[in-house]
Amino acid sequence: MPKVVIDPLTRIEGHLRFEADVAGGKVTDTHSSGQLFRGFERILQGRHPYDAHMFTQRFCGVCPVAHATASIRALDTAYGLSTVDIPENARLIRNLIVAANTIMSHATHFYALWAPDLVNPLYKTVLEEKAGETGAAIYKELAARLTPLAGTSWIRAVQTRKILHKVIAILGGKMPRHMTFVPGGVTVTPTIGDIAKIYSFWLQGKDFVEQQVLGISVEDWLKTETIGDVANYLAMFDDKPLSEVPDIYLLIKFGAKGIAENMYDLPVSLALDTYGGYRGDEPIGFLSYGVYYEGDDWGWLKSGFTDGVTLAKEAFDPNKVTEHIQHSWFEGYSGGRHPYEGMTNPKYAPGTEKYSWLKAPRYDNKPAEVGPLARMINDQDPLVMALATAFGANVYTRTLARLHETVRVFAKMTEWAFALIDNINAGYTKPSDFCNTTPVPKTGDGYGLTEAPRGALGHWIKIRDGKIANYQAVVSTTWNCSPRCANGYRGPAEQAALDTPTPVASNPVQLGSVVRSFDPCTACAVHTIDKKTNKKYELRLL
Amino acid sequence: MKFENLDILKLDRRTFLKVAAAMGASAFLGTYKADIVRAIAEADRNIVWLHGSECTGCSISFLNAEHPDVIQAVTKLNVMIQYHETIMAQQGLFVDGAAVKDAALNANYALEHFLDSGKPFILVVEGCVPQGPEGTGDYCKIAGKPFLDEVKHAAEKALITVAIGTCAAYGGIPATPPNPTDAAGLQFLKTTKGGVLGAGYKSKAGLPVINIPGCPAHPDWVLLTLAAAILEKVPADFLDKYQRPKPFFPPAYTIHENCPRRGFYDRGELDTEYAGGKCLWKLGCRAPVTHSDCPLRLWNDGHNMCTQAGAPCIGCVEPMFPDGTLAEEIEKIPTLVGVDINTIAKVAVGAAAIGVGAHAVRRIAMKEE
Repeated sequence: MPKVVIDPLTRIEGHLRFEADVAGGKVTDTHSSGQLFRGFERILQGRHPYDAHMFTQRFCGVCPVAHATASIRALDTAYGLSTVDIPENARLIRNLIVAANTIMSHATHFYALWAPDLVNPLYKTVLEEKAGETGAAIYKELAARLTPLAGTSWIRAVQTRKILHKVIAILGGKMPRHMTFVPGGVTVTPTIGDIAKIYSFWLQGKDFVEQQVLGISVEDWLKTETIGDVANYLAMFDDKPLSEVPDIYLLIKFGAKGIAENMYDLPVSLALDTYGGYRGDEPIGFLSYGVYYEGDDWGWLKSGFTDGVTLAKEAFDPNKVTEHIQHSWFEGYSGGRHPYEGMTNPKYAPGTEKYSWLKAPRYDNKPAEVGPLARMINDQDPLVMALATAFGANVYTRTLARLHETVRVFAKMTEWAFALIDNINAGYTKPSDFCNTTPVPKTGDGYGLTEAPRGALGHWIKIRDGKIANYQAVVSTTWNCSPRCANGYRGPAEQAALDTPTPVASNPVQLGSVVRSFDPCTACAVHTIDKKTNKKYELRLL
Repeated sequence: MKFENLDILKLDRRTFLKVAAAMGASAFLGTYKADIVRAIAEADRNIVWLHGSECTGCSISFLNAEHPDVIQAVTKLNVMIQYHETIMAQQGLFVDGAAVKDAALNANYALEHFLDSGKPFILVVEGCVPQGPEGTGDYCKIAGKPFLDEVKHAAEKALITVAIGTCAAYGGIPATPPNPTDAAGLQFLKTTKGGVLGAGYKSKAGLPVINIPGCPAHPDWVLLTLAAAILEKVPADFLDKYQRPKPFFPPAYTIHENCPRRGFYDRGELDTEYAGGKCLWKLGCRAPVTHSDCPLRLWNDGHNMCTQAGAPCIGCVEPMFPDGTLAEEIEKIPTLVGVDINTIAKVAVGAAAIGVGAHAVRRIAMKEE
């Protein structure tokens, strides 16, 4: 029984080791292991609360915006500010920055990080062996588009993603690391000209999305809601040469066994719909904290927890979030603890039951997948619900959910931009229309929940004597790539990688695809240490 | 301080393209077959890009490069990126504990194979190097090995070593007290020379580590420095005392002098609340003690910079970053070091002539003396 180890798993952010036992060409057991520990939260203790969002957005260079958002929302609440205290202009600007970064991150993930797996030599062999010239033509088209540094779509996507960063730079000073979020609002006061520039970039992005990705207009794509709609969409391009079809057509049609082989009677497919899902013999769910201001609320994309077995959705309750350390390189408690009560004493112990620097977050003691698929499921998006119902959760639906969310968020951006123009035209341009500057409180507790591109993200802060007394972050990849918990349940990626076909142990491309489909970002796996005092957190549950 | 003779100065963005074109383009771009393999084997200039305790922000920033963008640069300069975890197709692979001996599949094998080949290469390091716990480096492991060991191994063989971002250069946020992972930069820990490679380290080209700090580093700083290194145009007095290229991190002036909001400072109009549109001095701005060309170069293809967007400069290119509390006025921070006295003196003289605010800058200058 070969043991396959991927270390480092490349084309992700950070350092992740993934171990798999393989028997009969399939994965039989898995261990996901974070290989980096930084201790940011410990560094924050004793500092000015203002530093929190500046430091924590430096957790990650891919989604600094998400950390800044979680942190600034935690600070807002700790400063005694609720959503209605944040000026509407600031909410719109925060939304636009979060949206632009999510789109940038999704595009980078799909084109530069995940899709290059599809040009792995293994697929060439499989496609050519089973489908002869047709298979060779499919592989050739994938390679022409997706080869790193050379593929036409790869190059265009990597160049186009920059315009999203320009949008953020206009509203945030620069990117990565936009600088303009402060407790109470934003520092930036864009003019109509600035927003016109943003709109111009948006239109450039729209060209890419419509010409390269979808082949139809954004508006028409968003009318795609059922499997029948998907079939009609495919039919529009079936008669065209492969070199002229849009990227998502290739993925939808040749990515799924259920479509290429069952619907089109082709002899072969990439079969991405046949692995990367859940067996259902361990608990699993889909979790979203909700994201984007909507009027006076938070959650244009809605929060929720959907059970992976029953598919029943329940309202999200932040008190049900806990972290386990039974199999992580930390010591000090057993079972699960809420982040406010968490403690993090590192103890590196290779070769024991502990095997990761990531803790194991659980929701109601269940492992939970987070990210675009979980967001779309909890938002009850019709297309993703239809796909998930027809194909289940797997590499295929996870990837399509990411692309579909990208289009939805992209379309929504103009609404926020135009609302901002209306406000400016109506004369809401005073400093107080952008920031409700508020002095640092002596004492305050706060938490900020949001959605990073790769999933649910929460920051918890406690201010005492005007300084940060404690800071905890529970991040998306800790959810997805977590090790086993105290109850012995595997983390979502560990579960999803079970049964993954691994015909050639020395080239486990499908295994890499499964883990990458969660868009891991392990630099965020930051936790605090206090070796000397062994101090336990005193924060109370919310 | 004179820079007129530095070759890199002639290499502004437009001339860079001309120089690049003169190098001769390869057939790399737009091909996706055997040509790539051949190009890798025959490339003249190799880059090995390692990630330590980092966030990938500098790589992401690097991808934002314009005129030339990364793809142009890679193509026109015939540069081969031999190892870069975020971009490369391969991944690290072991079967039953043994490395898969295929450079087309196994990233680790490709790296070791390349390092053993003896070919000259430029080493780029992103992220600091954790030395803990107890000097083992176990807080950051790649392919089962501490990054601490790997970076030393690669640095021994490198023609030129470049630290990208404040973490790789000086330790950055992870090395900030209490420095939980005992992290350091390649040749510095904050302002103290040494780091994990030691104060005496020189690459095969006889150069110390070239530091390109910033959180993140500006893509122009990275590309132009790499271009200078590739073209072997690194003059003897290229670096300042913290080993930063002087053209981008000028010892003689700070961000404050070219800040788009400088006029407000000169008139004494200082914001005390955010979004006021004026000078950010009172809100903790570090521009007066931060040496970089941000206001001239701007970010993201010239669209903006921190202070222009109302965000106080946080001094992210300075070795002590993030020293002190970022929201506090610099004149109130007793620990602020790494400040060039001459610079402060010059700023103070300039400001004194106009009046407002000079007191603060002068006080810092005095403290330094």
